[in-house]
Amino acid sequence: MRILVVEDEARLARLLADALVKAGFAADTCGRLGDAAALLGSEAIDALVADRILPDGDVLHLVSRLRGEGQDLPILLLTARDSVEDRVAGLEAGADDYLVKPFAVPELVARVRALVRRPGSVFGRVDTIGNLAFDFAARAASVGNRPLALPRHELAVLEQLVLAGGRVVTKEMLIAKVYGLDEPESNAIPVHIHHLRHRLGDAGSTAHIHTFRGLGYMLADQEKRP
Amino acid sequence: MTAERSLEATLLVRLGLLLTAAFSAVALWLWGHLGHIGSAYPQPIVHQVMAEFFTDVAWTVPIVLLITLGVAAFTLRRSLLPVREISARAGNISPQSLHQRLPEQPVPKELVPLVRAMNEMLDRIEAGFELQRRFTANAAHELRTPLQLLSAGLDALGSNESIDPLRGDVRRMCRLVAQLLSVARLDARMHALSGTADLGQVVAATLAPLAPLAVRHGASLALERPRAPVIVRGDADLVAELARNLVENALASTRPGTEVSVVVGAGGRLDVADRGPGIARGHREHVFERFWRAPDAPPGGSGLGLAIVKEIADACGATVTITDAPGGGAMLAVAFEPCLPSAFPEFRASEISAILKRGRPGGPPKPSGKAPVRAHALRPGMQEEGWCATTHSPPRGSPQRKL
Repeated sequence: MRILVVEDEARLARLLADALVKAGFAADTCGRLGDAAALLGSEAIDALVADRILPDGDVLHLVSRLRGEGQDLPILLLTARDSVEDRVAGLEAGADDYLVKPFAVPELVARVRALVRRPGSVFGRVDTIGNLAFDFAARAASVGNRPLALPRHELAVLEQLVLAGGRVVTKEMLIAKVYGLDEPESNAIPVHIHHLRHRLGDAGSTAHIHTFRGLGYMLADQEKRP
Repeated sequence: MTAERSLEATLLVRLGLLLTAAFSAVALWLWGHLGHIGSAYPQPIVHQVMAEFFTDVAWTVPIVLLITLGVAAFTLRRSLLPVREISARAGNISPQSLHQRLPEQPVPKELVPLVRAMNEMLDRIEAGFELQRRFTANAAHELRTPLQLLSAGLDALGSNESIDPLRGDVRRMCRLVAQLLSVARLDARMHALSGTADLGQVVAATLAPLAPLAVRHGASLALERPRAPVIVRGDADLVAELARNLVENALASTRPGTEVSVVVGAGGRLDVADRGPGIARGHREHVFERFWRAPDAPPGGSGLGLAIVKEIADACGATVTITDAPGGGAMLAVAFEPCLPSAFPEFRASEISAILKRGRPGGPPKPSGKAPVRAHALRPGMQEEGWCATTHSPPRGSPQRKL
């Protein structure tokens, strides 16, 4: 997965690229619209992360041109402008997502992951939350290097919570992802969460599942407050 | 003594004195003249002429005097009427409605320069406000890039005891910048509000990203909302901003280990209750002022959150009330104006809330599209057949209640 980061603030470009590399992507950077267009033409780029306003123009022109040519690579726009009009213009031009500055870098990584998530794209990836590690290739969880045995449905619930990257996952989303088209019992998810929480606690995991009544569930490291 | 003197009174007194003086002068002259003639003519003839004069002519004098005064007063009053209207309009112009101008049209020609000068003054004041607004907006925008660098740099450093507090500082500054931008934007578009929002959905979407903040405060967050959409008057982005500021405020005040409860009511109410110290009665009138902070407020706030809440509520025609939460703490309630999706524009807000108050449907509505769900939610108060936007409420205790 190769990501092109277009950002005229060179230090920021490097910080973002480093974070993406750390998350398992390959990343290139450039600071001008012209360079970005040239790189997109010559290299195999899988996704574009671009600052909206660059010294030599508005990225929206590039986005509309790419979409006009039928290119469907995921595009995430970064911007210091967050008025509704700006957001609408960005999405209408064909951008897939919009992140308003200042954002937290993990948020950017999570969004890029969500954009490039195609079947198989999470393979070969291990995410860690505190001392909990989740290997997406092997579909196995471990706490402090000791494997954590989980029943099928609980494993699927944990996988979704880890994939959300510290964001809230709704009960409806868990039902859809864990059960697909099957209709589970009404309290199936709360029961899985309850068991999962106990298993994580027993194994000494610092990752904790928070319940937000009426909103959903979130996995977060207890040691380090997010 | 510097009592205000009415233009009308002055004019009437002066005109009255002038006319009385003029008539008296004429009468005196006549008197003298007749006396002079009297020596040339026999006395009875003179007396007869004088008597005829008083019966035929002189009685009209006071009447003419009164009519003149009446016409003068009427003209004056009529010409000054537009001045009163203009004064009323000028009195209603506030920083939020500086785009208004005073009309030059019905004003007498003599007063047009004054109106024009006042309008030019409004132009200058508006330009000044606009400048300040733009300064706030630009400053906030310009702060975003360095803040982004700072935050990304800190994120790259990982996590330890000396970095984590810095990250908190950056977050606080990011929030302040976002709030300053909100304030600038609210000032700029106070008079351009339209549209409707699904309160339940907007609040749910706003609350989910606040979950990490709740965990940071060691607090929990809970949402209760009806399954059917709750459509209210207001711009969805503004309603989201209101909800965010309300909940951020509650999370900052609530004690660690407690829950901030958010309830969306079917009638268009949004209640946010925290388990903090509550808001003292004496502070309640101040909390909505920009940058006002209670003397004992926890550090980290800017004093802008509740001001933003109030201003958005005002723009949406909603009201905000502060009460004590049932279990201690503060409860802020925003009552929005409920309305139907645009498919049923004929329904008025009062009718809807009346219908909604009458009771909720027995079975859970199917969440399939907005209009059908809304129709379902309304059914207990509706005729089963042929109900349309203009249907009147059925008689109390109608059989459809048993649905």
